[in-house]
Amino acid sequence: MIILIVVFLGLALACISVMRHFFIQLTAIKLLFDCSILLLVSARGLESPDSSAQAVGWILGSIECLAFFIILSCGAKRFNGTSNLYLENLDD
Amino acid sequence: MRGAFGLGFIVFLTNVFVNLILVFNGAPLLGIFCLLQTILVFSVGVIWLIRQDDFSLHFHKTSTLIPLVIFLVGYYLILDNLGIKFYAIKENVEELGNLMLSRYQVALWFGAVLGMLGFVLAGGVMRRSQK
Repeated sequence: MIILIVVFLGLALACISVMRHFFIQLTAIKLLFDCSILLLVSARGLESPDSSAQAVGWILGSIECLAFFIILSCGAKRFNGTSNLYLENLDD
Repeated sequence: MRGAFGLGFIVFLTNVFVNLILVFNGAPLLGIFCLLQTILVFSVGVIWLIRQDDFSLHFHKTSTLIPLVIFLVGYYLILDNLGIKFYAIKENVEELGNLMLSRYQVALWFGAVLGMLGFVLAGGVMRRSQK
């Protein structure tokens, strides 16, 4: 199962770094966050406490919620009225 | 299905699968919380994609895939050598709440201040753009 999550992590990182499309990058960032949460919560050694990992997972999920609110707001503002989907040369 | 939407939909399905793993592995609240966010982000993204009407794929620096693969292989080997494995979760909301209020209280306050700062900054940007 760990290798499956690492593959999903790789898919997300590849989409973020290689693709230049805001929609794909947006969903890929979400996948990256969720894979990180799943790894934090589920993948651990036997000695590690369970509740601490879950608390960090919830904190990361809440930060993710705030981050996506800001990213979606910035995206709506930045790409509004333009036909250019690139993250640079938006003023052209 | 055209390029950008197809790839985005595949990433979305993968994301839903990851969220369902969380739900059925013993953390239903955290999984549903993430699943709702996933649906929201994908819906907003699709609305934005339809409005922009650009479904073509734009590639950028495909050579970054090589260090990425090396990084992921190294990451997996580190997890494997540390003996970290996949375990079922036992979600205990009461214990989680007590732990977060006792141990992570400073972090929660810090997060609240950061959140407020984000809203103040966003408000400042919106006000400046109206001039």
